[in-house]
This record gives sequence, C-alpha cells and structure tokens, in this order.
Amino acid sequence: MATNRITSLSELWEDLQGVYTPDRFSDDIAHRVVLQQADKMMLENDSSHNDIYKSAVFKKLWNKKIIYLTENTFTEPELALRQPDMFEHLNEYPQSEHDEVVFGNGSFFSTVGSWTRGYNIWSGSSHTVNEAYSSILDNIEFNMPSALSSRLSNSAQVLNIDTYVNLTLTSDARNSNEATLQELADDHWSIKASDEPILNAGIYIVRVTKGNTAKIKEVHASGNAVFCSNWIYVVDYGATLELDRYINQTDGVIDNTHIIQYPNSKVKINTHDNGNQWRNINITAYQDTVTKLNGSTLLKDSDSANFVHVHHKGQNGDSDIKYNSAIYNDNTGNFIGTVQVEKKAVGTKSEMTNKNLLVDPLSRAFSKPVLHINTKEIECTHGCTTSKISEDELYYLQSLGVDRRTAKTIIANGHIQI
Amino acid sequence: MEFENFSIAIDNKKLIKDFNGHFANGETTVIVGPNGCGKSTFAHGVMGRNDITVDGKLLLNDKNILELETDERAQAGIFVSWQTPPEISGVTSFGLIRDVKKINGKQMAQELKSFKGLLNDVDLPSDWYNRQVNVGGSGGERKRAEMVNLMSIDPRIAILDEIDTGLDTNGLKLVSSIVNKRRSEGKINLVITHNKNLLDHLEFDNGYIFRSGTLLRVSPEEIKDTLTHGYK
Repeated sequence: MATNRITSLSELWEDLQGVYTPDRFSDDIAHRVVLQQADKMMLENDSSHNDIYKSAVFKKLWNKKIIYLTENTFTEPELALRQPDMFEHLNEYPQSEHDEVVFGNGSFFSTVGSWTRGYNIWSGSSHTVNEAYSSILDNIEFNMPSALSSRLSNSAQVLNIDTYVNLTLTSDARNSNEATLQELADDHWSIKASDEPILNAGIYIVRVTKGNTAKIKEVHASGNAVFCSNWIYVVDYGATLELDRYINQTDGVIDNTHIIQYPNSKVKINTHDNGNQWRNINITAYQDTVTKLNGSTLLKDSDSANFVHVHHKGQNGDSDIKYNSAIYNDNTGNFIGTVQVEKKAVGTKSEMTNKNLLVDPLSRAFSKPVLHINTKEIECTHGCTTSKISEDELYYLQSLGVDRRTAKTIIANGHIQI
Repeated sequence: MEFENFSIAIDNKKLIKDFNGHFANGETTVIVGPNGCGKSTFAHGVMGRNDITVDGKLLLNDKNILELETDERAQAGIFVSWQTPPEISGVTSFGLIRDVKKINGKQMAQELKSFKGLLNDVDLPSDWYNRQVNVGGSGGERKRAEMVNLMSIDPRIAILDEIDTGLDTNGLKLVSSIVNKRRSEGKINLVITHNKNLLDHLEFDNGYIFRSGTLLRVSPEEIKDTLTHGYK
C-alpha cells in the first residue's frame, strides 16, 4: 500500500478501490470486519446521482492536497486495555465532572494518568466479535467519506460507556499526526514542514450501554489537519446520549456520523458548523425513541454542507430537527434533510426545519427537505426558509446605538443560537 | 433640541412641512394628532429610518444630527420607543443591552444586577433578562421592556411613541413616573399619545397638535381638551 506522501482523498479512493485488506490487520478481528465492509462499499459505490456529493465544498475537501501518513503514534495495540479500565478513574475521583478521551486515526485513548491508554471491547471469541461488529455495520449506510475513512482506519475500537459519563472527545494536538510528522521529519522522512494539512482518518464507535447516560462534547481541533471520519454512536435500550459537536481551527472536516437508537433511547445533538465542512448525519431510530437534533451554521469564510437522514424504523418515534444558518459574504450553505418512515413505524412524529439567514447580498443557501412516508397515522412536517436580515430588526438595533455592521452580527448570531 | 424648517415625507407624501420648534432641557412635551397624520413618522424621521425623507435641520448642541446615521443619532442621545418593537430571536434582553452599552466582563455582574432591578421596577418577570428580545411578549410586556431599555440607556432625549398602548392603569402610572423622573433630571421627553388617562399622571410643559401638515404649539390644557373632545 501507499507510503507517506502528499495526496488527496480522491486519489486514495482510486488507489484503494479493489485492493485487498493488508495482512498486517489480520490478527484484529474487529478491524477486519470493518475493512471488509468498507472494501465492499467502495466497490459497489455509485456516486453519480447522489445529491450529497454535488456541493462545491465536497469537491474542495475531496480533492484537497493532504499529507497521508501510514505510520503514526496512535497505533499501539500493546497499550490497549479491557473496557472497565477506561473509566476506572471515575471511581478514584468521583468529584471529577469531565473525562477526556483523545481520538485519532480510528483509536481512542484516555489521557488520564501519566501514560496514554487504549482500550477495546468485544474481545471475546472471534465469532462474538464478528457478530457484534457485523450487527452494527448492517445498520450503516456507507458513503464515500465513511467508507474511505473506515478503510484508512488503524483500528476499530469501541468506546463502551457503561456508566454515567460527562466526557470530551477531542483530537488532541499533543498526540496528533502533526506531532508524528514532526518526529518523522526529524528522523528519516523527507517531508518536512509543509503547507499541506495532515490527514486524520478513522472509524470511531461509541456505545452507550443499556439505561446509561452519556454527555459527550466532541471536538475537532487542530491547526493543520483534515479530518475524514466515520463516527458510529450506538445508543442502547433506554440509554441517553447528549452530544455537542464543535469544530475549531481545522483544515476541513468531511465525515459521516451514524446514530443507531435502540427502543426507548433518547438522543440530543447540538452540532456547530463554522464552514469548511461536509457532514452527514444518519439516524436509525427504533420504537419509542426521542431524537432532537439542532444544527447551528455560521459561515463567514467558507461553504459548508450538512445532511441529515432520520430513518424511523419502529413505532412512536419522535424526532425534531432544526438547522439554522447565518451565511456571510459569497459563501454557500447546503442542507439536505430527509425523514424516512417505514411501514411499521406507526405513530411517528417528526418535525424538520431549516432556516437560512443570508447576511450579505452574495450569500447563498441551498435547502432541500425530503419526506419519505410509507405508513399512515403519523405526524410529519417540514419547512425551510431563506431570508435576508430584516431591515426592521437592523433599524431597531441601530436606533439603540448599535452600528449597522455590529447589528448584523448580533442578529446573525441570534439566528443560529441553539 | 431645535428644529429648523424640518420637513418629513414618506412614499412621496409630505407629512410635515417647515416645522420650527425648540425643546428645552427638563421639559416634557405631549404630541397628539389623528390617526395617520404622521406622528410615528415624525419620531422615526428624527431617528433616521431610511424610508423616511427629511429636510431642514435638527440641531443638538449646535450640530445638525440629520447628517448622522441612526446609530450615531442614538449615541448623540436620542431614543425612540417603538409602538411594536420587533422580535429578535436568539438574542436575550440583557444580551442586547450588554451589546448596546458595550459592557465588559468586569462590569457584567453589576449591570445585570441593575438590569434585574429595572425589570422589577416595571413589573416584568425576573427571568425576562434571559428571554429573547420581545419573543412571545404581550403588547404590554413589550412596552414595559421598552421602558427598561429607556432607563438602562438613559438618553438625553426620549421620544415615546404611544408607549401607553397595551398598558394597564398601573402601567400608565409607571410610564408617567419614569418620564416625570427624567423631567426632574433635566432630560427632554416627547410623548406621543392618544390616551388622556396617561395625562392624569404625567407632568408636562408643552403640547403640539398635528394639523394641516405641521405641528402647532398649544398649551397643556388644549392637549387635554383635544384628547377629551376630539380633533377640530
């Protein structure tokens, strides 16, 4: 396979299509299942008619020059510990409110303590592991970024939450590819400091086990990285997931998030978008689930694209999706939201809105709400609006002494408040 | 505050022509006029709404403020309360005042405390500071919120455009006491109203009636008489 080099996601996609899973992963059963699924998708994929690949921001990120490292500090299987060790410190420090877990290249590490720890689950017999991962992946619809990131992932770990947690999932710069690149540059590799960002790609699975509650702040932060990830959140029977997603100072995020909601589970997601991102969120919701998804998009310097697909597969699901955006300059905000209700999902309630505020004359919004209803006795609504800033509101703020530019900012920031 | 040959037009319709008038510190003036005569347009013409055409001069400290942008007029000390203030979603009432007054971190706690005190003074709910500006507020609540903004910003000149609409008797007393206090502090108040009950509590010095495309200066008694018996 490829060695360290400057390339792009599209070139990696071309290179890896049809290439057999490398032997070096063969001892990791979970990883092998993921790679096989990703390989399969990459062969079957037909992107030609798919709306989600049409935006300029997708093309920009997919073709962006990146540094791809085949070696990095995240792959240290000897540090992997059994799951219970992961949250051991919570018992030691019960007053601690926040836990921090670092993600990168498909691995999770706890930063608590003096050394970095990895962990794993479903490490029983090969049959058990195979079945567990397959059952998750059967629920997933792969797309190009998710398949590629899964294929590039260095492992397939699960962050298994079996207690109440309040944690931050972060791409910690101290353990990032950037640090690795520096080491390599100091050592033997020819690529030194470069303008190209470094690729951080992987599959991440987070599972909130039965009846538990997880409050997670997911932060992508790195001065010189493009993130291409496949996130899978499994919310088990009666479990609750509250997820806040932030992207700070990256060179771009192109990822897929799949949330599987088992019966009686609750999910609340707040996702913040500052542009230069392409994010697809798929939610599979079984019976008696509650789903709340708030998207806040602030585009000042770049475009973004957000896609949401809520798939109600069981009865009495309740989903509420709100995406608001404020778009400055000549940037474009894209939103495609789909609610799909299966025949047996009687009693589904769903509301989806997308409100776009065009701050400047050249700002643009593309919005497409879609309903696929295959049953009766449901309440599903959707709506989208695209408007300019109200002159009345601007004048009101000006009449209180705020200059016009600041007034625009106040109104735009208010519009995207979650 | 001095108007010189002040004219106002909207949609090519001239509403006021060549108005000359002086408004002195510590004086409250009541302005009345029939519906549609241009009272609100006058208020917002002074404030600088961009669909209103004004002509002439409006001198404040010898400076013609008609040459200024709306926000600069506000900073020069003019405040107009709105008949129907707009909703601004996602912006809290205190957040708005914080931005208007450019309150920084150190002053925040003290300002919030005093803002909550003002809410209490006008009988607005204690959590109003954290509610979105005018969102879901009744007519009366919005008017009370306008009074909070007035007290918080504390401008030299206040033009209150039918501030009494939607207010109950207590509300009318409240508005009157706030304006009376401003008057005693030497500030200028212009109160546009149709409501003679407001005048039962309001201490005022002068009156103007809209008539035949201009503002006629009248006595406080004539204002009360007009609001009681109607326009001639």
